[in-house]
Amino acid sequence: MVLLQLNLKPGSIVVETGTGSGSMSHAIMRTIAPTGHLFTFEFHEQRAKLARDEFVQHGFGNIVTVANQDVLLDGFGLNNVADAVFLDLPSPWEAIKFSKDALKTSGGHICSFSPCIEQVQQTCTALNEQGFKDIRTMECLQRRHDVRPITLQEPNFGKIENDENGEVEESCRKRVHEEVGENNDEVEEDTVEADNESDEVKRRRAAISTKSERTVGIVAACPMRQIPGHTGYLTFAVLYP
Amino acid sequence: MSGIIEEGSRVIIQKGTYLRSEEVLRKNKVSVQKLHFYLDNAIGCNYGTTFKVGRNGHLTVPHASEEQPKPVPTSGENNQFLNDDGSSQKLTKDTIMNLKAQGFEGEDIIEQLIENSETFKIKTEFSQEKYLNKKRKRHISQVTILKPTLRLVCQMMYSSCPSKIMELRTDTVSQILTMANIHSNINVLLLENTQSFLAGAILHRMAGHGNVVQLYNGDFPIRLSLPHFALAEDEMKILSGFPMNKINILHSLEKEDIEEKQSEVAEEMDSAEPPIKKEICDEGNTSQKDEGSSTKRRRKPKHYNKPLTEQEKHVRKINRIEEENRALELLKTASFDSLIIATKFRSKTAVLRLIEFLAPSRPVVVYSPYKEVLNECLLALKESKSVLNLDLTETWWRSYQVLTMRTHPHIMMDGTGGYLLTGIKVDPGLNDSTDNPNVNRNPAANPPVNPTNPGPSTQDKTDVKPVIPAGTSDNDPDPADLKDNPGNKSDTDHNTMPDGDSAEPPSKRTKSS
Repeated sequence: MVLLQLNLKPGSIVVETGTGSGSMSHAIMRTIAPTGHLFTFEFHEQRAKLARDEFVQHGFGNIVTVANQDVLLDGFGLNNVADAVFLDLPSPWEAIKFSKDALKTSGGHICSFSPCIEQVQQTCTALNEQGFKDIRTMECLQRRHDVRPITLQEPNFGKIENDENGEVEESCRKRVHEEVGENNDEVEEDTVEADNESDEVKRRRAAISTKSERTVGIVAACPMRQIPGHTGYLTFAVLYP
Repeated sequence: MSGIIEEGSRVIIQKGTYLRSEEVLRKNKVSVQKLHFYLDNAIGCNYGTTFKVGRNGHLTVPHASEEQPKPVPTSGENNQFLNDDGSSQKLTKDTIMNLKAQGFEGEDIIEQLIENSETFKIKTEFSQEKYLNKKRKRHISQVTILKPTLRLVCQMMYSSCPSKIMELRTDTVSQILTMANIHSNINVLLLENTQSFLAGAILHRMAGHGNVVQLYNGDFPIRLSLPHFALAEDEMKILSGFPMNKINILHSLEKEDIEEKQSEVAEEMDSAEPPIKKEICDEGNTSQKDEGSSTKRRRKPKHYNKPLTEQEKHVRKINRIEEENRALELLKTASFDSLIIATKFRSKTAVLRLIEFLAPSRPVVVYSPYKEVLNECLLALKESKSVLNLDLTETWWRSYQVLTMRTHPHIMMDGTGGYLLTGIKVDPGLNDSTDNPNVNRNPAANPPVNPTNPGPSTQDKTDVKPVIPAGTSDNDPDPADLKDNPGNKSDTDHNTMPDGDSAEPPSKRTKSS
């Protein structure tokens, strides 16, 4: 979502802060390779070093610059070079001014990721003040679904007395078994091999026939029970020339 | 990338929330909702400029003071004394129309509306603001001209003609691009029925490096959505169409000889209309493929409906053969880096057939607006044992109003963005040697990786049947065969889905991006 809204493509120049684990950096670098460049800032020295090593190891060494500095104190030190800025900071509103400086004179896009709505509020105010347009805030969550074949029992409302209807019911049962097909061996065995069976089986069958005479196999999907309900708010804005 | 609107470029015109894609041409009247105007005056201005539409249809840049809202005199505390009976506005529709006819515009009309509203003064500040915004939307004729971005194109297509792009919502497009690992220098196999909307989004991310093979049904690929992306000529040239109905006879196909065809065409043209052939051929070549994005001046408005000339038809034919040749070569190697399916045809059949063309360890993404379509795809792929990390996902997307003391989600939201099936292709033959590695990594998951061992499971009734190894390394399994094999009954797979977070390096996929 971030990549799309920031209009990133091969060749884009991007500023990111903070680097963190580097997973967002990887997504950005993959998109802007081979001609773009990512300037990423991380104030935690050890994490910056770790990220730098990892990027080199993954072959991104030549399209990324990892800087170990606190952006809120020092700014980006970049002027009119970037197509897009991605902010993942506790107080992003303090970095909006620097971001504006870093964006190209021909305009650019900005994204701020914050978990709390209060942060969003302040960021939007700052974006407005700095002349950013088309400010949008959104949430986007992924929901996974669990897919599996399930078997459903038809409710048994008892036999219908009328002879004619009896026939209908019979054909109906046949069709259902065809549908059940490969998904459900047990039911087929129970109902199809009806000829050479012992008394024991017959008694069991009688019990079944009132309980689960007809079953249908379908493929069902439902969302996973426990899913993350919130990651953060994404705020996007555009700077026009 | 310049920030200046140029003649001949594609722009997106924004009026309120409405978006429309247009080509900047001189003396060409465009209509956006109820406004009709010429784009001539926009040429040379910056992108992002807001223009006022004059009564004569010309665009002007409004003075800063002109459209400033006038200060509001007083406001009330709450809505205690407000009645919703439609009687508060004394100005009738006719008077407003009269004012407009006299040359009053925008803010003037709104001022009149406020003066003639009995209740405006006792509305709260917030509700006054809301009222003004509503009236402004209706009475101020302003448009903003924007540079097409992927986001704007997605938004425009989804809001104006969702059915033509299979209801592909912006967030779903972003997910497809990320899940399918789209970046420059890869070969992508694409089957879509979105009038090349999805193709455009992919091309945007590849910047002219790599290849996109687009399978199509019928005589030619439909590329109506492509011009909106304003892609450059060399960004487009990596797109190659290939007719779907030739997939099964691929190996008996040879490249068509273009030179032969060209001379054939030349001969035909000689006999038909003698002169002007080479030039037109060349020019047609540039304008034909990207129908408009970099078109020459010669194209007049309403050109769309004009039938193609003989020459153009021939050029188109040659182009198609070139594309087909390129695609054929790639298809024969059967080692694509990414497979994307968003089709109105039965996706299960499509994915089972096309997965063969994907190289191992590469992602496959199937989109459908319906979950059921993907359900059967998922089970079939699971059974075929050629894909792991199978996931059926959807994204939930909600926008917010952010205003001081009034921040909340928008009242209306989009209920669905469709569903995605994602997975990583594996070569089932290669997995015979490993000892069910996925179980070690995540005991709860039981992906159908190892054909010789269905793996433990929480719900299995331990009726592990003998399983015939599916396929060899050089031979992908035929799903039909597997289905007939009693050992592969899907009732051994009642368990949970393979966990999505297990095997990839961080560069493969990023959550929430």
